[in-house]
Amino acid sequence: MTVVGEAGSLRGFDAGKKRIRRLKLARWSRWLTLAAFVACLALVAQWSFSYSEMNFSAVLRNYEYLLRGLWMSWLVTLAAFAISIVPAIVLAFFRLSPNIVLRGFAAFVIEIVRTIPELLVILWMFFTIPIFTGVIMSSFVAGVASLAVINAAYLAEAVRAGIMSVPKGQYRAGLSTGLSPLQANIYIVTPMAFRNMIPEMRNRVIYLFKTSSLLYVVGVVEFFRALTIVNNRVYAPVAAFVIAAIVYFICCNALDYVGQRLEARSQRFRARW
Amino acid sequence: MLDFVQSSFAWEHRDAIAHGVLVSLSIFVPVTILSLVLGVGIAVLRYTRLPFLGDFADYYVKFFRNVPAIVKLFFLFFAVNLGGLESAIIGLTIHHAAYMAEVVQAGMNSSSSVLEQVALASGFSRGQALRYVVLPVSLRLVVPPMTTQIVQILKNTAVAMSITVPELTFVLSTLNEETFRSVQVAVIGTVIYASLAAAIIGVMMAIERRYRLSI
Repeated sequence: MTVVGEAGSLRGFDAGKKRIRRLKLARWSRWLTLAAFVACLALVAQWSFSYSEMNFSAVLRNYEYLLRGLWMSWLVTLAAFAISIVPAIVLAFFRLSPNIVLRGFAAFVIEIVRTIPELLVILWMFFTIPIFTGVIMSSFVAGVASLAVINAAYLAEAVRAGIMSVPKGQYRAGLSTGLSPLQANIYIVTPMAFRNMIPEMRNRVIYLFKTSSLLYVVGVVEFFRALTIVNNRVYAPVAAFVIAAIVYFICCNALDYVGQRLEARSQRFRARW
Repeated sequence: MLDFVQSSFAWEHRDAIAHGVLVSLSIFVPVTILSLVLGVGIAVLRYTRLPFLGDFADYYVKFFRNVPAIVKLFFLFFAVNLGGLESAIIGLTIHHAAYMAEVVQAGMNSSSSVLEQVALASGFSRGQALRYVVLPVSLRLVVPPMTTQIVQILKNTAVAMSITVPELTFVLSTLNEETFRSVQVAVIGTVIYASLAAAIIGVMMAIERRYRLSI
């Protein structure tokens, strides 16, 4: 044991010095690479450069309008996500239920919504659903509803995976302590499944935020729509879309960061078996 | 039966719809092939951890994953002034290459460390280990998530509608505006997209079965 340990630590020591040097180098090269990456993007922007198009200040002068659009993007995303949670859980339990009608229904809905383009869902929600139901929705309501439908389908799959990751024994233990099946599902399985679902929920929120940019087709003035409106007025496409890219990048990374923190927090309360 | 089909709404507009499907596929096929190639390339670059190129690939994925496809399409169409079809193909390739890279990377991470050590121990160089051992194994492992990504490409071809490419969604929404027969249009769209996706999933499942690892 000692021989192995000595040899190992000796080798480890040498390798450690080398690694520290390499890590220092790597840190510098990472910054350099970041600079190079930004420079490449700037070059592409430059490539499509003309004086009127690069006019950042003309776009940013409308900051109030853009900020209102950004607020709308966030509102639509978070509202749709919040609304979709309950239907997603219901769909997931339907899909896992022994009843073939419920299972088939859930599978059908989930697979159809997941395979048709988001744009179609949004368009159908705005144009087709009113014909069936006679309820005419405002573009905001239709937008939130269609995003909620899309998200419910995707989230249902995540919930299903989460539920399946909770061992059957937990559910049975719940039953044996006298809970009804519904109670066991609500109080025991769902909270544990929820913690396993957080990484996937993080992906879904980010995806939803990006998808909210498609709501322009029904006239919701979210951030991207606001930018194109501003662009139509001042004509500075390069500036406008560079700003769009930067803002979406920052927002998505912020969501990613929050999700990471949540994930780290939930690890403390992780169910262990 | 034939009468019924011929009097139907879909049959009446079959030329327009078929043309839409064709345009959609002419975006979908090149984007799928190009983004697969580019995605594997990026994943390999990230895997090698070369000081400059590896980080560069890292930033590529981080940046382009977090920007919606429509922003890229609008940039290429309105700012770079490419044609509609070109900007759709290039923009969606850039977008989905980042996702493909992430998928392939996940496969490489889940399979590589032990496999690579075994390959190195049996005398492969690092490049050989990557080419003959790590990459073939991890590409087989990632077929299911890759299927999801390819269906996602099919769905994202609809975004090209907003830069005036006359693909299926564009054709359908035009039909809707001309005829106001919204329900029929909705059903046609859903059926076509769902069956295209089913075809993709079928092909990918066949590929998965054909190249399954027998460990």
